[in-house]
Amino acid sequence: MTSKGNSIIDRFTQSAIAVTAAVKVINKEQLLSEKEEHNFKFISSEILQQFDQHYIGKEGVDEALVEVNHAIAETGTVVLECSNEQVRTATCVAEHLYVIVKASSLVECSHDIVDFMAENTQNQGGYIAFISGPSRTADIERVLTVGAHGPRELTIFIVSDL
Amino acid sequence: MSIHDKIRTKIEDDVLYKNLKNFASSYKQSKANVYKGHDFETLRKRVYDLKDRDINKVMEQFHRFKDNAEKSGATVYQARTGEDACNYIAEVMKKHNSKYMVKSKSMTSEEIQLNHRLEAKGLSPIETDLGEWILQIGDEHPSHMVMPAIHKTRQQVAKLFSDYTGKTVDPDDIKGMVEIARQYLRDDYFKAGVGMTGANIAVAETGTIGLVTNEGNARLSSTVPPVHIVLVGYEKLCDNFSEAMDIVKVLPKSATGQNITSYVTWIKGQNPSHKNETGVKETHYVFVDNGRLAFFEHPEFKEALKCIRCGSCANICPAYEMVGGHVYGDRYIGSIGLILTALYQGDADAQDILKMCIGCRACSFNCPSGIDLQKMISNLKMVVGQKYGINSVKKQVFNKVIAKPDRMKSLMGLGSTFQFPMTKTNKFNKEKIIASVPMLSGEKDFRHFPALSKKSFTKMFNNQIRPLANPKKKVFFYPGCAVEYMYPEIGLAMARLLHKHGVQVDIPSRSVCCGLPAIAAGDPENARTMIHKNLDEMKSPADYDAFLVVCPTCGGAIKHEFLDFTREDPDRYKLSKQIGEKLMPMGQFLEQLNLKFRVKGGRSVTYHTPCHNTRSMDYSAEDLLKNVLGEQFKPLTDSNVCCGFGGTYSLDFAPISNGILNKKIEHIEDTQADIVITDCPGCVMQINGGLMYKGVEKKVMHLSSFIENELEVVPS
Ligand code: SF4
Ligand code: SF4
Repeated sequence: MTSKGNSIIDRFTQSAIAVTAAVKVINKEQLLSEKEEHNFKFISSEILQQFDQHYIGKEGVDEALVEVNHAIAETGTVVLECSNEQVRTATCVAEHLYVIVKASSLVECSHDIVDFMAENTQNQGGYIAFISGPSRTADIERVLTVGAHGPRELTIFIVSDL
Repeated sequence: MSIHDKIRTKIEDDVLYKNLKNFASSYKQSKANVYKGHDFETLRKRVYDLKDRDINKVMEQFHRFKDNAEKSGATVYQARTGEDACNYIAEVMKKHNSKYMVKSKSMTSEEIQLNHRLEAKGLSPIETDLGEWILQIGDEHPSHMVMPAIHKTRQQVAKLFSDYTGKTVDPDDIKGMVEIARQYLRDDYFKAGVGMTGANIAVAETGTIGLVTNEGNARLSSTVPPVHIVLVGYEKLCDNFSEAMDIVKVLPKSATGQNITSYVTWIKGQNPSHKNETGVKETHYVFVDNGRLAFFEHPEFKEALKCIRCGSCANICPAYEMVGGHVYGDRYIGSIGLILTALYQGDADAQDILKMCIGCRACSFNCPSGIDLQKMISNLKMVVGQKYGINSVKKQVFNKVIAKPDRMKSLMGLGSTFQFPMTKTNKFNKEKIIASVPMLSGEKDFRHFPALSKKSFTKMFNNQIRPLANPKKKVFFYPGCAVEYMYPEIGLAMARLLHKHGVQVDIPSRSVCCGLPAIAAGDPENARTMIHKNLDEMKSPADYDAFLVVCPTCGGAIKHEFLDFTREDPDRYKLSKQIGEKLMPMGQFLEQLNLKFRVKGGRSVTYHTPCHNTRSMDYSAEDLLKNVLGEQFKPLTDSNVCCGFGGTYSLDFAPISNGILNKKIEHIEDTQADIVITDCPGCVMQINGGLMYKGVEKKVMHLSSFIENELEVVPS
C-alpha cells in the first residue's frame, strides 16, 4: 500500500507533513496496539467501537484519539464532523491530537466532499472541522509558533486495510 | 495630524520598516510557491464570477440562508447600521448576564467599532486572536487585516505582556509569549458567557458559515460558551459548498502564502452545548448592512463587495510597505482599505489616503477575487478631486499648460533655454542634470533630475528622420511628454533602428500629454480635454501596421483610459478602440519583426520591469534580454515592483517615493550588473536620478538606446 510514490496516501502524507503533522500508515491490528501503547484520555472511534462521552474542561488533556470522516490529499487536511460537543472540545484542547482515517475515505481535494458537507449540515445543526496540522500563529514578528490555542501536535493514523 | 506627518512618523519607524520589508519579500515568495501548479487566473475568475451578483441575488441568498438557519432554531438579525449591530450584541450579552464575550478576529467588528461600543456599555469583549489580543492590551488598532500586530516587535510585546501579567517576560522567547496568551485566554473561553466569531463564508444552501483560521481560537470561541454570535456582512454569502471551496482554495494562499490554514471550521445552526441550560447552543447571526447593500446596486462600487479580506492587496502594495496600516485609518487597510473607507466611512475620510496610491496596479493583478482595485481607486480619486478640489497649483498647470499643447511647447522651450545656468554634468556618466531645483529641499531632494532637452523630440525627429521610399511596414509612434521634452534620444534611437530595417515611423504633428497625470491627480475634465486632443492628432489606424510607445504609462492610458473618456463620443471611442488594438511597446514590435540580436560588449545587464508594461500592456522585455544576453543577464529581485516614480506622486509623497526607490536601488546593487535597463522614461528618470544622487556608478538605459548602442543585428 505504501511506497509506489504517487498513491493518494503518498500525496496526502506529503501535504500533511508540509503542515507539520505526523503521518503513520498502519493496518487495523497495528491501530489496536497503538491504542494500547498510548494513554488516551478521550477516544471516539467507530473502528475501535469506543465513544467517550465525558467533557474535558479548560485544563485540557494530554492525548486524545478521534476518528475522522475524510482526509484531503491536496492540503493534508483531516475532516471531522463534530457536532458532538465532547468530541469537539476534546479536539480543541488536547495537547497532542491523534486522528484515525480509513485509507478508503481519502479524497483528492476539498471539492470532492461537497456532498458530504451538504448532507452533514442539512439538519438541525452541524459542525465540521477541517484540521491541517497543529494550531499555529505567526502574530509575533511573523515567527511561526505551534500550539497557539489548540493542539501542539497532530498525528494521523491512516488505516491502510479499511 | 496631517497625512504627511503621519507618513513621516511611520517612515521614521525603523522597526516598522524592517518588519514590513521582510514580510513583503517573504510573502511574495511563499505566495508564488503555494500557487505553483495552479492557474491563478482560473481560480480567481471563479471567485470573481461567484461574487458577481446584484442586490436581488444577494437577498435571495440571504433569505435562503436565513430560512435554513431559522429552521435549525438560530436567530437571524439584520442590522441596518454598525450601531444597530452593536446594540443587538450588547442585548444578547445582557440577556445572558455575560460581562465577557470571547471573540475571534472579525474585520466587520472593526468596521462597526464593536469593542469600543461594548466597552462604553460596561461590557468586556475579549479578543482571542493573538495579534488582536496584543493590540487590545496595548489599546491599538490593527495595522494589517491578516497580521494585525505586524508593526510590533517582540520587545514591545514582551513589555505589554509583562505589564499585563505582572511577571517578567523574556522578549526573545516568542514561544513563551504565545504560551502566556494560551494560558490567559484558555481561562477566558471558559469564563465568557458568549462567544463571537465573524464568518469568511456564509453558505446559503444549508445556512452554514465557514471560518478560516490558524490558531484554533475561533473553534474554542464557538464551542465553549453557551451562546454563539456570528457577525457577518452580506457580501460573504455564496450559493453552495462548491463555491465555498472555490474561496477556501484561494483565501489562505493569498492571505499568508499557506496552502491551507490549520483550521477551516463550518458551523450550522444550534449545536449541543452543555453549558446552556437548554442543552443546545443559542446562536445568533447578525447580518450587517452599514451601507453595503446600497453598493450592490452600483455598477462599479459593487466590485468592492467581492473582497474576501485576504489582505493580499496590502501585502504587495509598495506604498503600504512603506507606511503600514495605521496611516489608512482605524478600519480597513491596503488598497481595498482606500476603497472601503470611501464607501463605508465617506469620501471626506478617504480623500487624503486615496492619494497615497501610486497607481502601480499591482493590487489589481494580485487580488484573488479579481477586483480591479487600482481602477476603482483612480475613479474615486476623480470623485474626491471634483468634490473637494485638487491642489490648486496642479489644477492651473493642467488647465493652462498641459492641456494646451502649444503653450506647453513654448514653456518647455523657454525652460530649456533658461535652465542652462542651473544645469551641470553628472560626474561619472556625463549626463546633463539640473544642478539644484529651487524650492526642492529636504525630503523631496533624493534624486537628480535630467536637464530639459534643448530641442524637442518632434523637432529633432523632423530634422533627422527622413521618410522611407519603399517601407516594408509603417508604424505610428506616440512619444509622450518625457520623450518630447527630456529624453528625445529614447524615441530617436527607436526611430533610427526601425528605419534601418525598413519600417517607416510617423509621429503626431504636435505632442499632447496622454492625460494620465490629470487622471492621477483627480482632474477628469482636463484629462478629457487632453485625451480628445490626442485622438485628434492621431493618424488613421488603418494606414499602420502598429502604434508604438516607448512609455508604457502613456501606452496604458491609450489602451484603457482613452476608452473610459470617450464613452459618450462614438467616433472617438471607435478610434480609441482601433488604436488600442494596434498599440504595443516598442520591444514587442521588435520581437514581432523577428530580428536576431547579439550583444557587442561584455557588460552585465539587469532589467527593471515597468509597472505598466506587464500590467497595462501585457509585455515584458525580460525574455528578449535573457535570450540575447544569456549569462550576461542578471535577474533583478522584485523586478516588477514599482520604482516609486508615479509622476508628481514622487514630489507629493516624496518620502514614500524615496523609500520605494531605495529598495529598488538595493536590489539593483545586489545584481552587481553594469547596466540597468528598463523601458519606461519615467522609470529611467527615477532610477537614474536616484543612482546618480547616491553616486552609484551604473548606466541606466531605456531599452531602445540599449539596443541601438549595445546590440547588433545578426544578418540572416
Ligand atoms: S481586495 Fe482582493 S486582495 Fe484585497 S483583501 Fe480583498 S480579496 Fe484580498
Ligand atoms: S495601484 Fe499600487 S500603489 Fe496603488 S493601491 Fe494598488 S498596489 Fe498600492
